[in-house]
Amino acid sequence: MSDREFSSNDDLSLPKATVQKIITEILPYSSGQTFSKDARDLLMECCVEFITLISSEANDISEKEAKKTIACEHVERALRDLGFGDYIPDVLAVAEEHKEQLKSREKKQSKMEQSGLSEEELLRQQQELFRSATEKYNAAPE
Amino acid sequence: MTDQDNSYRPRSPDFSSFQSNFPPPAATSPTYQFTPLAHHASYDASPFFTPQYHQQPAATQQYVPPFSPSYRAQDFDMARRSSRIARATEADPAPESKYLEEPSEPEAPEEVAEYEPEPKPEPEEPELPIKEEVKSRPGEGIEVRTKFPVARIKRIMQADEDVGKVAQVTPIAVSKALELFMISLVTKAAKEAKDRNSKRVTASHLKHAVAKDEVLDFLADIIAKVPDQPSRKQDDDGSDQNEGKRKRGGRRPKEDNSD
Repeated sequence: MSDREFSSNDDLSLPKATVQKIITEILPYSSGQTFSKDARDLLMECCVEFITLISSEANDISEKEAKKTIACEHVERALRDLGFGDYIPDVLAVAEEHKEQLKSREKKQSKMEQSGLSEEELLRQQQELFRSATEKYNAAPE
Repeated sequence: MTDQDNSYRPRSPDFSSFQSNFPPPAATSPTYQFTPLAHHASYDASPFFTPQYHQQPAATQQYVPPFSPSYRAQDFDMARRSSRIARATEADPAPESKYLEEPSEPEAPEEVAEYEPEPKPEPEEPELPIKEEVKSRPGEGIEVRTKFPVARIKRIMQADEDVGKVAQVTPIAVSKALELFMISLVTKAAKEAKDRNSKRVTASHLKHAVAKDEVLDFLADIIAKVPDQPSRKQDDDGSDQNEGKRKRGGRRPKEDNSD
């Protein structure tokens, strides 16, 4: 680890409040146990180190595959190689959920793109529809 | 009232005229009508007055025992009994029978009207409060609703110069893995503290927990900085520095809960 990770750059550590919240969710009042501040700070360092470890491992894997982008599958393999295989099902479930969300969002955005037609073609189709509608209207007026 | 008829009617002609006027309003307001009767009934039933009003001592003995002025229904009962006695003695039942039947009818519907509005239609099921809560994880049986900021995770990942582009899903996947990692670390440290009879999980507990696990070897450098001593010191009594820090933290259910 390099010292810039936690001491010099605050951006490169986890937000304390969030970490504290999660700790109290894991160790609620009812457990009768409290997590001391120094333990929390150490935990945060460990967490940052964990992220660094996973991402560097995933990066190595992706580089071996000659990929420029670290994908979810690289993280998955990194987790397995590093002995965190039991995290994989949950991680994949979350990733899948996110993909589903993206899909549904994209579908809504790009109805026009989905048609696979150019703008000119779409315009022409629209004009045709207008024309046919006008004809229908004229043919059978009330 | 009925007994009053017995004793007072010969003396006071005003009262009888009042009686004849009384029944008509009874139809409009039955509840109001009811109270004077009950009052009279209890008054009549009390043993101190009965000898004066009643010529027949046998009748008095019949209805004195169940006397209880608090309950309306019982008062009503007594009123009926006294009316029966009055009928037997005076043989003038015409005004009483009318009077008594009237309040008995509205009594029932009145109660229904009171009870019906109370049980309201079932409220609609509340909406699911938080999206994350719905999907519980099999992880360790612990639900963590708080999420890490994905942007921060990505930045930490890319702090490593070697790490280049990262897919959009990747930080989310890493953040989930981190969550599980944290659960395991906190749980292990808490267990370590428990084994040492400490309600407070300290850095040294975490250190020991990490040292026990081979998978966590990558944390060796970090935990090496943590001194071993506080843990032993802490077994005797909470070390002073930690105690001070904890007070600032503001959360201390330690004294109350012993597990």
